[in-house]
Amino acid sequence: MTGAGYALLLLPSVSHALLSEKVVKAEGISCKLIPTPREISTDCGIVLRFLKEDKKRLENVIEENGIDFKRIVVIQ
Amino acid sequence: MSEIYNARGLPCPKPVLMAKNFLDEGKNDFSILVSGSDQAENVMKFAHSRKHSAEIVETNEGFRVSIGAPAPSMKHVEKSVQKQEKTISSPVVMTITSCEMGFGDKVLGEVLIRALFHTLTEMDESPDTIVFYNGGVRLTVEGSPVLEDLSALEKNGVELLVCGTCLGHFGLTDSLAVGRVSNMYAIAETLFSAGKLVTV
Repeated sequence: MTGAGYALLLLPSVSHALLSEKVVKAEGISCKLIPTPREISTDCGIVLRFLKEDKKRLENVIEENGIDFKRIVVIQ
Repeated sequence: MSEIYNARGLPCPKPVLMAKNFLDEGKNDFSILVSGSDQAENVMKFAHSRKHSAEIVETNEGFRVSIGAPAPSMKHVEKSVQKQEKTISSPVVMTITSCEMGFGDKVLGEVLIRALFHTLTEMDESPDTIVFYNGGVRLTVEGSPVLEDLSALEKNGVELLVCGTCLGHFGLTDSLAVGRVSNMYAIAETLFSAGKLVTV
């Protein structure tokens, strides 16, 4: 339901989710905080959804800002 | 003889109150002049809820709502009734009274309410009506983090009622970006006719 064409950044907490949304948006990358889809389980119930074509850019931004994250899931 | 009453410039619930009083008195051929289209729609909706015919005509100085005798066979009334028929027995109504979901932590509450509206757009069963009042109206104005989801819900037929008094109180009347300005008559009727009332 989250839709093909998207990827999800899985994070350890809501604070991480908010921080990553802030820095990713500041880079002009379109994203949205959504509940973690049922089929994916994490410690945090919120993930950052973004277009999968922005994956590289997003990874760079997250790394540059030293934000801890669990993994990135690309929706097939 | 059709009587015309001037309610131009009167605040939000007054024109509806005027219509209510006239209908209670048994009048069934009169017009009410109002300044805004929202007010005109609210008066018309109220008349329809009493099964009276009503129509809006735009005039040079605002809008005229002409209310006639009960005429359930009239086309627009039928249409309105048909639209409501599906859910009239048990409409699901949701109330949003702040920009946060739950109490305890403001930041968490704001994230949760964004997650909630996203989820509503994906659910098979969405509410029939969402009523926004007090701090909840902030979610319906420009800059709201849930505008995209609310627009999607509205497109899918969810009615979004936004308290006009509340918008005015926060100075946000001109910033409304989604939903329809409503008054306490419509809001109270919606709440009390709900089959299921969901408060978050």
